[in-house]
Amino acid sequence: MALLEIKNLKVSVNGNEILKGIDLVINKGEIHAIMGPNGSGKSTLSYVLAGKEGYDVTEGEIIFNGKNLLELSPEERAREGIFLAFQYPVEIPGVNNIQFLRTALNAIRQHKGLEPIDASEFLKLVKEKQKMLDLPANLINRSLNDGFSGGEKKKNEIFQLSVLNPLLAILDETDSGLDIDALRIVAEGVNKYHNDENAVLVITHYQRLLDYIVPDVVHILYKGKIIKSGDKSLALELEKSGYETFKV
Amino acid sequence: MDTILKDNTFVNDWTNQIHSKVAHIPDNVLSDALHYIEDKGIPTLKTEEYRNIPIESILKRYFRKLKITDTNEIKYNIDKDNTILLSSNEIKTFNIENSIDIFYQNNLPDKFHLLIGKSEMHLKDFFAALNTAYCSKILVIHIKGKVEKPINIIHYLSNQENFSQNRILVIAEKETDFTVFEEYYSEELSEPFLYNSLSEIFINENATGKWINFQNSSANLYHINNVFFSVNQNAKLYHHQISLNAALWRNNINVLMNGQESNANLKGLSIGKQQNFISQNTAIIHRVPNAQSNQLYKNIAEDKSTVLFNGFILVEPNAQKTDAYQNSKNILLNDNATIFARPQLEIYADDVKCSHGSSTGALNEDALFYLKARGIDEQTAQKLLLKAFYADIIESIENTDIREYIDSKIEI
Repeated sequence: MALLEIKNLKVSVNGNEILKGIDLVINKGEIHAIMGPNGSGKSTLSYVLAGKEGYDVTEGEIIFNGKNLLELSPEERAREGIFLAFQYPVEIPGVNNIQFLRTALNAIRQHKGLEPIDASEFLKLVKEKQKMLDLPANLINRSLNDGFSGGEKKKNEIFQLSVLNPLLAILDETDSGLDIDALRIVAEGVNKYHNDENAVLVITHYQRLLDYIVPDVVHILYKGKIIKSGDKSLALELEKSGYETFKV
Repeated sequence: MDTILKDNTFVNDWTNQIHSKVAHIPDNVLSDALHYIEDKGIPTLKTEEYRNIPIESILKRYFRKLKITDTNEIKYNIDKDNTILLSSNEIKTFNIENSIDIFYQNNLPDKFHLLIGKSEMHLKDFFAALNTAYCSKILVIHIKGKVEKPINIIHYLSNQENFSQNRILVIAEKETDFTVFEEYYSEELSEPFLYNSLSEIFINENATGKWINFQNSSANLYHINNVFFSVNQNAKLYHHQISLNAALWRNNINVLMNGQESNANLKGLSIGKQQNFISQNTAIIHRVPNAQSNQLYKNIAEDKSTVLFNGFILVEPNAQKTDAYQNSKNILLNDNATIFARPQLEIYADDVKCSHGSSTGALNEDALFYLKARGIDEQTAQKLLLKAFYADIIESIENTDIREYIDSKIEI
């Protein structure tokens, strides 16, 4: 059984059709990349998977881990194992970064029939991931994304990913705004998270990230449709020749 | 020509029911109060200050017949130091510090007697006039030195009555430092209760007063609270108004910046639920130069509640170099809830810094979605965001015990 199966997905926003029939299959253990120019529908796809309001699914279905994803609320989807690393993470002053993460983790654990995480175990987990991602301690203890730089926000998304350990990680242009060092650290974090039981969907403009998070499959999204799929060499080809050569 | 029919019969009928054992207060103060009552009558929907509260229909519907008793035993044990339990005709105190003198009587020593009704804008509210004209005993708290622990004032409401009044006079001598924590305790109220209180507080030179009024009581309580602060030279006032459950909380918080370099910092949090009314009205008068006032009120309205904030600032012609700031932030959780926020600034000096701001809206949708996208359910996400919204109001309460106590009582 595939982890994620998208069949003929058509999505409109304010009456405009953005996704015009997407087919996509992601199996456990795989890393997929979706590349496409601005306006191709990349973010729309990630928001629809996460369950954001304002996106009308006019046709098609999404099966995640055997369940009909479109019937689930955003929080149910997260508990089933979907994680979206946002392109523009929201700042939420007054909500403590760590307390929020613990609340989220416990909600997911409860869904799986587990007890809330032990306080010291959680602290250990947090410290481990914080070090791995080279995030300063003061940032971790502050309000969620409040006053964080762009790069710190992106790192914080991957920090949450590492702690929450979902089945499917969707990275929405995680590389934008990252310098080369941060990029390496983030990629390492993703690679450490990745194993045979989960999957990663990387959404990006640029090939550069894919040098570090090496995809099994690359898809080219153009004007709401996946026009070509291939292995990682497709990304290099795209880099060289641009989207023009792939237009149908 | 007065087109508003003053319902004098109701007022007369009403005031006749209130016990006539009035306190001995200065004659002119008493006659001014009586004239005000006769002249203005009870507030109606046309009365500017009570525009959005159906006070007239509340009075006529629930309080036409008043139940007042002479003997109310306070059935409550206090074990907190520096505490005053105040019922409609007696007080109980517990371990009052030596730097504080307490009086509770209707005939006060001259030095206090002369202060009654001296507060600025004392007579601008019907209920203030009512309290002045018909209140029997006055509680005087005379602070003579540094006060170590907060002074707890607990307003005790008995279910043997449906109406009571209390009057408090606080004098903080020069260079003193005190905190007052005001709370309400009621016996099981099975019917509506109208409680009218009035406090006059004089903070003398170089003194610092922290006043926290925590309003959380019965669904049957209608409370009108007139408070008058006079802040003298170099003195500081930190005021917190936290208003939660009751049928009506009506607070008129008046502050006179009466001395140079005086400073007033007012913060408030109101959470309206069910069909309750919360009305916060502040009036700051800058009379002299070089004083600072700062107000921040945060209001949340749920269900079918109505939360009102009226913030009036008057800067008189001599009050140069005034800094006066006011801000209110409001969240509506429901289409049926109502929030009114009205800043009013009257500035007559020309070298001043004054500003006011107000914003009203719903919870941030993007923030809600972010939390949900991490597995947090809607209700918990909403709670997290609301707590974040009012965090700074609670966190600015310096005393840890008071702060934690209030935080634990907020249900959101």
